[in-house]
Amino acid sequence: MKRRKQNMDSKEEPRWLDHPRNVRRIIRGFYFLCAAVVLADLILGIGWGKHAAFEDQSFLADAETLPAFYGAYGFLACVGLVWVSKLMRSWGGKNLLMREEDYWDG
Amino acid sequence: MAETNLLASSLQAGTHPATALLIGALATLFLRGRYASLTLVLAPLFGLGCIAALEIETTSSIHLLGHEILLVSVDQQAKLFGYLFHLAALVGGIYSFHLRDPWLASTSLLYAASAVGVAFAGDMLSLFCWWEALAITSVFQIWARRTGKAEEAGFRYLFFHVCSGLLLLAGILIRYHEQGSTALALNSLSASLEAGDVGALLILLAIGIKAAFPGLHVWLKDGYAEATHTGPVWLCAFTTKCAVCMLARLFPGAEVLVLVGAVMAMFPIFYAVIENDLRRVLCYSKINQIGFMVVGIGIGTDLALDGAIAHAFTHVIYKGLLFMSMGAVLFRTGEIRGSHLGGLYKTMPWTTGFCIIGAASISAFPLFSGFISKSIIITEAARNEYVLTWLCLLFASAGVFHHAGIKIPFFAFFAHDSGLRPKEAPINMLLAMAISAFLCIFLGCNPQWLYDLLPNKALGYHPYDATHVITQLEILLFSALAFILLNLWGKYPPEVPSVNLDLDWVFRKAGRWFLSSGEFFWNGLNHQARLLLIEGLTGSICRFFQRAPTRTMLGLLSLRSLLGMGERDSSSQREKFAKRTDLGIHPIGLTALVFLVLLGCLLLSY
Repeated sequence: MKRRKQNMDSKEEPRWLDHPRNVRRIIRGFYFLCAAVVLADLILGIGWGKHAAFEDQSFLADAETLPAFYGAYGFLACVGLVWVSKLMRSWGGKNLLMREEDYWDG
Repeated sequence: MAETNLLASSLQAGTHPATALLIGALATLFLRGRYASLTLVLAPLFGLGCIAALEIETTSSIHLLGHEILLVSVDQQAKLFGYLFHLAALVGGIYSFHLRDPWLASTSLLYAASAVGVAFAGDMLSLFCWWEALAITSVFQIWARRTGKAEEAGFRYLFFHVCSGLLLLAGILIRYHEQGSTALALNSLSASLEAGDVGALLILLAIGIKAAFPGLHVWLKDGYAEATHTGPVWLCAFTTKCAVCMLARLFPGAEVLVLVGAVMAMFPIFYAVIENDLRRVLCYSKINQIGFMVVGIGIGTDLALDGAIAHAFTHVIYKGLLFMSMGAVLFRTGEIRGSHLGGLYKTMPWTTGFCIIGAASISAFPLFSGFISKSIIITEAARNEYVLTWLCLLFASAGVFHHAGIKIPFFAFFAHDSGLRPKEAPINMLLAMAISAFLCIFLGCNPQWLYDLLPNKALGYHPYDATHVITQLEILLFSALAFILLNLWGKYPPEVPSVNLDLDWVFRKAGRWFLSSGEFFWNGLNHQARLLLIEGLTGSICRFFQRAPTRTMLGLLSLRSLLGMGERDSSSQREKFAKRTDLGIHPIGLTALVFLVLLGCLLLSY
């Protein structure tokens, strides 16, 4: 197994992604993509009518067909996921589940 | 056609669908170098041909100790898993081609053969045999790393899987005791489980260990993370999928599985977010994906079962691809911790690309394989009014994209530049990844190829409608948006060198307590026994028999004085007498006298 570690010296050509400007471009493009999908969701709902996942008439069945429901749910789910995960790692400055790498070596 | 008939008739004569793999495993032991590796590729290829030739409802049995064991029973589900396991073995074989370890190659093929045996098992006895073989042959993927940690992890892995085998055997025996030979049939046990049948419960637990049910899952993230760089590619294809195959066969529609599956889909994603070892992140996402399958089996409708089986099929391919990409990173850099990786796309562009395809598949992006299978299960959860479960599955879909879809490629290949400039993966690894990547896209674009293989042909399900595609894209893109914004705001948990306590804390602490208390009790008992028996009682007996002749003689001397047969001896005379007795040098007359006295005593006693 060959392993070669190099410092970022001047000989190495910077890649396209090494320029922060290009990263910002990608992120901006991504925002547009999110907006485009929500727009498509809105147009589909108004123009053709989305088919509901649920067959009954519950609150969730109505909410699920609203535009951007899935986007909002996905966004909030991931924010909640990260928040809870960070709490699992450490709570109030004290490690809850996180331990040193050699924890089991003793 | 003639060849097909020949293979089919040979099956009726007793040939097993795993024969090609078994012969390959045997041959590998006698081959060396590239020839052994070549067998890893050729055996699954021949096996695929044999599976294609199998006819539905064909059976094969043997008689053993007065019992008929149905070794093979071919149905559509078994055939699909047969294809899947051979395909996984083929890809795994190509990926492992560079290894020059005939023993590992042989056990890998035996492992694949055991999985095929489970898929085609016709009754409980044959299932048990292959189930045990699966446990034993798989552990070499961990031990082959030849480190102390791998050895210990292998034993822990084996502990869980041997327990699984024992539970399965106990369940079979309890049911056999109650119902006789009818209990050996591989029919649905869902009704028995709901009626409180202990045997069915034990069988479910046995399968639950292999399926990594919550609480019984720690072997997976423990063992896979310590395996060789090729190990998880094999491990992820067979053990848990055999469990899914058996759950679908034995517990379709068991209501408890919906709850278990929902928990499985949910809890690992929290761990995956804070896990630093990227292969362990994949282990957590694997449990999450099996959760989807377990929910599908629990719902139990024909379409949900098809969804679970289809998801098992696609999962083997894309999860294998992700493990292959991480294996390539580990192979080239010797590192798998997210905190120590990053920027590898510069020198490993192909591996990066294949990893991204795997990530898109596991995230269920439209046109990738995960989309055509996962969507069936989520749709069926909604149709059957499992509202909370549906919300959990949606949450899990967003979460899996978050940690497996983004985190894995991001922290390994992009993120901060670690300064590592490894070579691209070897050509055989790239070829294996390319095959899997092709299958991910091919199945994603042509779902009907997979649906036609399913037991119920997916009942005409169409994954690509506008609502479904747009809502799926929406949930995925907004999950990615959350990841980007949290990173930009510095709120995303950084990758730090650490381990996280899981339920393994209970097992490992309990194990250590068991060992230390066992050591205290048994070693203490041993010590006390040595003190009492070896140093105490044995010493006393030895001393007694060492001193007995002298004391007897001294007693006789005292008796003689008491009887007035001689003068009372002084203490110095007694000492002299005792010394003579010890040395055995009495004057002959005295010895003769003593002998006469003893003889007289003997005669008097009669």
